[in-house]
Amino acid sequence: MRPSDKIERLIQKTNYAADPAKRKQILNDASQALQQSRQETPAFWRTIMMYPLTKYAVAAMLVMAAGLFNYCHTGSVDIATIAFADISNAMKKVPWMHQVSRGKGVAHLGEQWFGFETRVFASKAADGKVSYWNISEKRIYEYDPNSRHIEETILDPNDFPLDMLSPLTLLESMNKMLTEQGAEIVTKIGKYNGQTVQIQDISLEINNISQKLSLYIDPITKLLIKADIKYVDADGNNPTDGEALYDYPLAGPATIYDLGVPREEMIKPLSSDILFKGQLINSLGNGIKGTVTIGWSCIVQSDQQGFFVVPQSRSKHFYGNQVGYGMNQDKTLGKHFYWKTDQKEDIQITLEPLISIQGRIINLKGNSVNDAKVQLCIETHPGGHECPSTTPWKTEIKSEGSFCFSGVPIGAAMEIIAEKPGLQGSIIIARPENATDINVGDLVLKPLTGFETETTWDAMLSGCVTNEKNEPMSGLDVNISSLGMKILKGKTNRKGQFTIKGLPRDKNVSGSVYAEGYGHIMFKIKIDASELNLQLFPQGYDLLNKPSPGLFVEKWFNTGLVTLEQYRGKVILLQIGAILPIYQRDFEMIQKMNEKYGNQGLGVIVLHARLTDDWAGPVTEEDILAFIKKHNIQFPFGIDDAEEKVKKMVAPDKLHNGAMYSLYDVKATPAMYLIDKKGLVRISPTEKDLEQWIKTLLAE
Amino acid sequence: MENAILIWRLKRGNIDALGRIYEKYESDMLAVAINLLGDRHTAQDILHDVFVGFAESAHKLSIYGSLRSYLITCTLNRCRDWIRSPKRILSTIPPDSSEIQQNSDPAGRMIADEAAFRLAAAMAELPIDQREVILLHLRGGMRFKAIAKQLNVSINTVQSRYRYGLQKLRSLLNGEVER
Repeated sequence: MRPSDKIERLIQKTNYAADPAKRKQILNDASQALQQSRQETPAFWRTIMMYPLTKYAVAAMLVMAAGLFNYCHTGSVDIATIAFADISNAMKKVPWMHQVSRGKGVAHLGEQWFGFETRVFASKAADGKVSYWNISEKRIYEYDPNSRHIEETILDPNDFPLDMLSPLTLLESMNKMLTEQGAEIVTKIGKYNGQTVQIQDISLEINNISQKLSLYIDPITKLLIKADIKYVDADGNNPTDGEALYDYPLAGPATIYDLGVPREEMIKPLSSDILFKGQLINSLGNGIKGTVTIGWSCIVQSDQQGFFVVPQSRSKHFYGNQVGYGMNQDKTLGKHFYWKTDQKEDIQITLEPLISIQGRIINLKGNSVNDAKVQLCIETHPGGHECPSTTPWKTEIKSEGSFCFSGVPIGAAMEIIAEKPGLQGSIIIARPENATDINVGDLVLKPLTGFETETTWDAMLSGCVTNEKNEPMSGLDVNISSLGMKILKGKTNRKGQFTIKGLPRDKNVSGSVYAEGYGHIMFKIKIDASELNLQLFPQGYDLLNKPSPGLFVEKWFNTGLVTLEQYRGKVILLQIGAILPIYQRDFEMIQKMNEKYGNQGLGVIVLHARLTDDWAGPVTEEDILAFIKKHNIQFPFGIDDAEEKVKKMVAPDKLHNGAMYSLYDVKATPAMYLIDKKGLVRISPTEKDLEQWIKTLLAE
Repeated sequence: MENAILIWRLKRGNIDALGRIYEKYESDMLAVAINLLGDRHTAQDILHDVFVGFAESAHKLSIYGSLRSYLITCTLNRCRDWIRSPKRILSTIPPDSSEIQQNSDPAGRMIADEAAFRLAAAMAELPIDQREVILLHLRGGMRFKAIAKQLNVSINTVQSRYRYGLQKLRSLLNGEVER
C-alpha cells in the first residue's frame, strides 16, 4: 500500500469532536436560531405583513381572502355564492381600488389606492404620512409632514415581490395560505346599507390567536365592498377591531402631490449612502447612457455620460461577491460585472454587443429532448450560480430540443441547467472573452442518481390521509424523498386528499408525513395504480382510555422510588424523552404547567430517554443533575429503563430506545401523556391543547 | 436518502434533525477548520458560526449537491474569511505542544489524540491552497471536478495541489503513519 493511502485514510478517519461545553452551546444556539426562523414563518396575517407594501394594505389581504370559499368547497355551492373565478375576473377589470380603513388596533389607518394597471400603490395615513410606490419605475416616494421633505428610495423585490400587485396573484396566494392554515369559512346572505350582499366569515385559530374576517361581496359586481377584521393575541390583549371600505374609481393619484402633499415640497434625491459608482462606456472608451442592474431587479439609470451611482437598497442587503449587468438604452450592448459589498473603487463597465447562446438537449441515447425546462444561470461567485427569474435575455425553446438564449451580456461565467422529471443536465460556459455567439452543442440529460434511463417519470401517486377517527387531515405535506436530492411533495386538502405528480413509474419509493401529535409516519410504496391511504394514529393510541402501563425507570435523580400509585386521584403529566439542551422550550412549558396546576392536583413526571440515535450527544448523569439543580426541579426526574428485564414486556426489536419509549409508543420526542385521576392514559397532548386538556381532566 | 429526510424535517423546524445533522458532520467540519486554521479554539468558533448560520437559514435552504460538501464548503469559506480578516492574531503556525497541553480541556479529546495533533502540525506546513484541496476531497467527499469549480481553478491545478500536498505530508509524517 502506498504510504499516501495511509495518509489519506488518516485525514479521512481522524475523529474530531468539539469540547462538550462548546458542543452544547452550538446545539443550543443553532436550535434557537432554527426556532426563531420557524417562528418568523407563516402566521396568517404576519406572512402578508412581511411585505411592507401589504403591511400598509390590509386591503390586499382581504381581497385575496374573498376568493377562498369556493376554492375549498368544490362540491355543492349555494346559488348566491360567488365563485372564485368570478371574483378573479371582476378584479381583472378593475383599474383602481380605493380602501378606507378605520377602527381600533388597525395598524395602518387611512386611505390606500391600488393601481392595478398603472402598477402604483399609494397610501395616506391618518398621521399625515404619505407614500407613493411606483412599481414600474421601482421607486418609492415618502413624505413626512414633520420633516417636510419627500424622500425617494429604490424599491426592490425584497420589499415587495413585483408581481404581487396583480389581483390574481393576490387572490391565489391568500387562498393557498388560508387553505394551508386550515381556515373555517361560512358563507351567508346579509344586508349592507340596504343592499343584499354575500358575507363570508373566515375564522382561523393559530397558536390560540383567533382571527376573524368578514367579507361583504356585492353579488352583482362580484367585488368586495366591505371587510371587518377582528383578532386578539394569545393573552387576549391588543384586540383589533376594524373595518375597511372599498370602492373602485376609474383613476387614482398620478404623483405623490395628488395625495395632498404641498407642491412646494421638493423631492430629496436618492439616499446618499451608496453601494458603488462607476461609468458605462463603449468599446471606444466613450461614456454611454444606460442602466445598471444588480440583484437582477434593482435598476439605476446612468446620466448622458454614462456615470451612475448605485444607492444602498432600502432593505436588500448584499454580502460579499455580487454580479450585476450594465446595458445601453437601446438594449443592444451590455456586460456582466462583478462587485463586492466593500467595493471602494469605481467600476467601469465596457459595454459590448449582446450574444446568443444556443444548443440542443439530448438524452443519453443521443435523441433530442423537447420538453425539458432550461435555464441560463450566471456565476455569482466562484462555485455559485444564480438562475434569475427576471432576465435581460430571451429564452426560446425550439423544436428538436434546441434552445436559444438571445441578448445575453458577456462578462460572466455561466451555466446552462436543463431539467425534466427524473433527469438533469448542465453545461458550464467559461467567461466568454469576445462578444461572439456561442453554440454549446449537446447538453445531455442524465437520470437522477439511483434511477435508470428507462424509468418513466409520468406516474402519479394520490391518496388520502385520515386520522384515527377516519376524519380527513388537511394541510399536511406528504413527501417522497427517495429520489436523489429531489423531494416531491403533495399537500393534503380539506378532504385529506393529496396528489404527487412526476413520480417514477413502477418503482418503489419511500416517503413520510408528519403531523403534530402523531409524529413522523414513514411509508414505502410501489408507484403503480394503487392509492396510498394513510390512517394516522396519535402517539400512544393503543393505550388511550386504558390503564397506564406504569413506570419503568432506571434511576430517579431527585426523589426516591416513584410509582403511579402514589399519584392516584391526581392528573399526571408524563414527559418522555427530555433531551436536555435542545428541548428547553418544551421543558419550560412543562414547568409552567407545574407551577400553574401543581397545587390543583396535577403531578408532573419527566423522564430522559436514551435513544439509539442520540444525536444531541450523550447526556450524562452529571448533566441531568446539573439540569435539575439549575431549574430547581421539584417534580420527579428519571431516566427511561433500557434494562434487559423489561424486554419481555415489549417487542425485542423495539427495546433499544428504552422501555417507556416503546410502551408508550413514542413517535417523536419529547412526547407528553396525560393520565387521569383513575390512572387511565387519556391523551398525548400537543403543545397547543396541553393546557386545555389539563383543565378538563382536573375538572373530572 | 437519510439526508433528504433530515433536510425536509429541518425545514419544518425539527430540532432532532438539526442535532442529527450536527452529529453526522461535526467531525468533518471541525477537521477542516482545525487543519486550515491550526487553532482548535478558533476552529470551534468557526464551527459554531457555520452551524448556527445553517440553522438560521434552514427554512430557505436549497442544496443541490450533498449536504456534507455543502457544510464543508461553508466551513471552508468561513475559514477563508477569517484568515483574510485583519483582526486575526496568528496565521497558520501550529500551536506548540506545551501550549496545547495547557490549553486543552481536561478531556482533551481532540488534541490528546496524537495522530490528530501531528496531522494538524504537518498540515500547517502546507500552503493553504493545497490544504483546501486535500480537505475538500477527503473530508468533504468532493470530486476534483467539483473542487475545481468551487475554487475556480482548472482540474489539473486541483489534482497537482492534491498530489504535492500529499507528497509533502508523506515526507513530514513519514514513519509516524507507517508505525
